Amino acid sequence: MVPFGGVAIFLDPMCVRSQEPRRVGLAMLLLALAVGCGRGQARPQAREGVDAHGLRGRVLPGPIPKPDLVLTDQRGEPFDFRRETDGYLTLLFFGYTHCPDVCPIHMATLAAVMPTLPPRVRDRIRVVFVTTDPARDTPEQLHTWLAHFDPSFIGLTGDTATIYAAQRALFLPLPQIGPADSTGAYEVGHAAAIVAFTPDNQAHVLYPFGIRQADWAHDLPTLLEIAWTE
Amino acid sequence: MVAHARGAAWLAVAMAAAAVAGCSPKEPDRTLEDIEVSDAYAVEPVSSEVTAVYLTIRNHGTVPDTLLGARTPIAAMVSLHRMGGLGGAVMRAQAGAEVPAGGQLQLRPGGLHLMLMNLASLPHAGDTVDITVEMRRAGAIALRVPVVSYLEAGERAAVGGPDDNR
Repeated sequence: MVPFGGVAIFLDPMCVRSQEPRRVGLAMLLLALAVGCGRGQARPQAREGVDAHGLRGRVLPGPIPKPDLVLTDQRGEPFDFRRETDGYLTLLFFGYTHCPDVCPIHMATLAAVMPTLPPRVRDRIRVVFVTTDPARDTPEQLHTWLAHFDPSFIGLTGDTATIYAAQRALFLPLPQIGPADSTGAYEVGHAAAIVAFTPDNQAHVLYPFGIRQADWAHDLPTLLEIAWTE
Repeated sequence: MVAHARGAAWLAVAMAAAAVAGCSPKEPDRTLEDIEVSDAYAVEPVSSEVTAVYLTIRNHGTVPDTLLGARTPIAAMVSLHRMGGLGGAVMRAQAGAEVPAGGQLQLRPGGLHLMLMNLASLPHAGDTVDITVEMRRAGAIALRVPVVSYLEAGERAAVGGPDDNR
């Protein structure tokens, strides 16, 4: 049985074509992580010095730079992802506000852990939610939705091409828009993992769905302490 | 443990309601008695657009049954969805989900869920919601389920990974 139709997305030639071999390997690893089928199978190669920190997220075999991503934030202002998050521990998630569980659970979990962190840690973190459903997720919709969790979280919307390009750059599977039902509602498939960029502006760790408050509470200060090197 | 005890309490309510609603004395429905619903909960919605209900259905009988769907006064529409594929985030509408004989079906965040859309009211954590699940053989099973926050749903979801049914 093919458990899902989204497989095709993983094989999207746009994702892997014209990448040098190392990057393709990385892409495949990311996909395995994103699928979540790699529990104990697709474990990333241990990176020297990092494993000792006992991170609860999945350490990537190599860093990935921040994507070039200029979108509109929930106040309707332009937001340059690289510039605005420069030097911050940046947690980037692609989702949508009509999402029944993965997105609100990620946001609620992060919102719960933030007040428990020392200010010196909290002040160095940016949480960025990029919609995969820009047709419905206007700045106003993002503002209202994110305000339920933590108004300091940044919500971004904009044109689909820009959003897709950012996901490709991160080797994340592209969103998949489902058929509309009788009421016009539809679903949007998207990668369920949160990408963590450390202050060196590189992604080093991926947080799949299922990560808990205690895991974030452990990892967020640690991510700031680790001296990340390629 | 608390969640389990609460689940059991709701189960008692469910079974009592189901017995009244579904069992004809002339033709006792063995399948109904074999079906046990536990750990049912709804999630406090962020908006009137969508929320979800999760539960575990155990089949103590020797005949498979199928979860067909559900209805609730608080939502205009309920459908059964499975999250799968991209790390648990491509949703597929499901016509039904089997509860194998001697087995169980778990609905949990990141896996199968009953998606409630176009909500008539917005329940809060601590409230309860009435929902009736439809089984192909066992028929309708009425439940009164607690509402929990997304945070609590996430903590529950994390145990054992996104979907243990496959």
